[in-house]
Amino acid sequence: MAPQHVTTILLAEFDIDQGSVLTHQYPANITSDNHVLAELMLPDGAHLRPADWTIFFLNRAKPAPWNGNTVAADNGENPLLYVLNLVRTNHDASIRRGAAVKAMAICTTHQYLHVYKPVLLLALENYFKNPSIEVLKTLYESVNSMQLDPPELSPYERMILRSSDNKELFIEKFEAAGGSEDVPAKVDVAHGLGIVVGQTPLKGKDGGAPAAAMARNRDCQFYETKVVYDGIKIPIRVPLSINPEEVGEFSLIKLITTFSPSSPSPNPHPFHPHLDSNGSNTHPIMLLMNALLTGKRVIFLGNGHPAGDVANFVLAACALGSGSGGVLRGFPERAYPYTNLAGIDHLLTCKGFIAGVTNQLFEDRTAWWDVLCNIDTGKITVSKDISPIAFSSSHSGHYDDTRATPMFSTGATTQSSSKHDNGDNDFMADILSAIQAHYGEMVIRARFQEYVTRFVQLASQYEDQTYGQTTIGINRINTPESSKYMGTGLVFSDESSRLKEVAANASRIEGWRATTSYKYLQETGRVYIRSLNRFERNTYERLANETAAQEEMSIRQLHAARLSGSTNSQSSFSP
Amino acid sequence: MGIPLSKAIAKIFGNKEMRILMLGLDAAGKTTILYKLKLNQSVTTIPTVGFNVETVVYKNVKFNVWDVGGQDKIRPLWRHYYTGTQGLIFVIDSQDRDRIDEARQELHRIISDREMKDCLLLVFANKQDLPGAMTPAEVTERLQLHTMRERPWYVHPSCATTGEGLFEGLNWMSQNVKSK
Repeated sequence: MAPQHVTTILLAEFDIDQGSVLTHQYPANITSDNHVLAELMLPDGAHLRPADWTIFFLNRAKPAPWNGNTVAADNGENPLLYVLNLVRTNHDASIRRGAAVKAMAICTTHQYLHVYKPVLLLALENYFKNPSIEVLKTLYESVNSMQLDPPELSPYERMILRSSDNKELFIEKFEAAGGSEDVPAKVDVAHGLGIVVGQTPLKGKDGGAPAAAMARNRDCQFYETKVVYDGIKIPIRVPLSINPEEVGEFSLIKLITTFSPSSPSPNPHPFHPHLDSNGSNTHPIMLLMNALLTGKRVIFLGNGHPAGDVANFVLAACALGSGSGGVLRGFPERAYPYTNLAGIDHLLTCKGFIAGVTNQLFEDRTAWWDVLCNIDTGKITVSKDISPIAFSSSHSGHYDDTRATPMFSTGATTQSSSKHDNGDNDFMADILSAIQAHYGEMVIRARFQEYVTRFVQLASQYEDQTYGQTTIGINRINTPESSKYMGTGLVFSDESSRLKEVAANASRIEGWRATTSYKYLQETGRVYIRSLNRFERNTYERLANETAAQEEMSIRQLHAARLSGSTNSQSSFSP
Repeated sequence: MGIPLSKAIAKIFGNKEMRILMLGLDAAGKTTILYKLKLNQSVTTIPTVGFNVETVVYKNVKFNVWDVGGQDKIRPLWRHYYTGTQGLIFVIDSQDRDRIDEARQELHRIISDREMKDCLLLVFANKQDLPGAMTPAEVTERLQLHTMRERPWYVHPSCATTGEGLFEGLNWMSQNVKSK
């Protein structure tokens, strides 16, 4: 069976007598909560503009770790569905009340959902002409018959590709992914896209194939394919170097410039230990970063804007908090790129969310959010109702039994805010001058990936220092052959600068330790250590067999150590 | 203690601000009223998806008017707009006798909400220009407004397309709003 690129097509319309109605779900119903879905598909103010693109995510019904379940709920069986939605308002004097408002949406597990925009545009156009479920069926079949076998890249290769301008990088992977049996089909694709064949041949095992691969792919940042819909060949470019938590098309630069004031002034809200890592002089972007890291309820508000505007800010915020999607997990699953009052009841059940709204009512309802980012004014507001201490009883911590009074957080909260300086303001100044100098989106994303990586390393140091142990990052305990990994982690010029930096970050680290992204990291940390060992093993295998044998030994040891480690941690973890 | 300075100044100079929620069944004329008040123009409207919100200044009173779509399936969303509402404008299509009972039920449901207990009620008996329109007295009767004892209410005839009656209604609102 062909892989399902798109699981469901939805059609909603604004019925002039009833209101928002979900008319079709093809091939099967994905939700019973039709009404909320219809409301999301027909965003506020849809009647004011010809079209609006929105994004929202579905399938959060899986047991969420913050509801007291373990992280074991696997994404495999009930994945997060990314929904790309297009709503259009067609004025037509011949129909009652003068207009028809209809929306069509594609539900996919692909994080690069924006590639479906052109085909969705055509399909909705067709539905206006011929309002029948056949239109959904045709769309479903054509997107799912898209050929999609992009080369497999390891996380490291992806990292290299991200930062490279070489359009032929990893071309040999394309060759491998192409497979010999369907080369003719691919050549056809190339012709369909009007690609000029005859690039410089690359060196390769069998000469011609790399050239063919290169002909198919002008730029190795993307895998190129097509969807044939309604007799029209639509080129699709699948990005290959995206990180796991980067969803859709967004601009981190736009997020940063929108919320960076030209003349910074001290933050007016009362000091909050999680948010104000630099006291009242915390840069707004850092305040947002801290809110995201510590799992606060964050709202992006664009009064009267198209829903698509706020959605892109939410996607960018997911990237900001997760370290450009490459360091921490758990952001898209609590993101609501567009939501409205119909979704509020569900939203308020989430402990921490990142949501986009266009209704100014949200601004007045300070009990609904902790941090509100107004995309028009560029102002970030901390709610007067924010709970002063965000540790909830259900997250009483991994080290409940051994938890000592954190050495630094009390100091940090009472510390005179003006004295506070953890280097964030320098970092932001650097970022802003890089943006000013027209460095690209990928450069800025890389800086934030580094930033969050460093934050995690600091957190690991903090845990080691405060609680005497750490389960995140690479350390003595989880890497038995510690000598091999010497040199991993942060380097400080001296002990006092280390203590100073750890102390300056202590409060927000504590805040982060109560979130799902922290728990995910503990989990993936274990997986990562394993994969690190496996990666090394593969490398050595190719070099020498005896080294490989040694590596096997080390993995066995690791397993044993990990097993005993995880039994310990589980006993203290269960609430 | 007392009233904040800005409120005091507002009181002296007569600048008041009022948060108005405008509800009613679909196609009653809410959006047409809103834009007639705002722009003094009769605009052609299409059904409202979600809401419209505009600020209208009349006689030194700044009215923040929220006009929320009225179709059956979206009425459950009305409740989210109640908090902080000082005046409710409920719009009736005076020609639509078939749905006046439905309108009455919706109206009574709204004003029985705890958040709306101190709110003024203005009913526009709209579309008076249409033949066979119910009179304000008839609308009052059919909506059973006389059963309401504790709340100031007022029914006024209106025609949104010409603007007749609209400002008289706002005038009543501004005179009866309690200064907070």
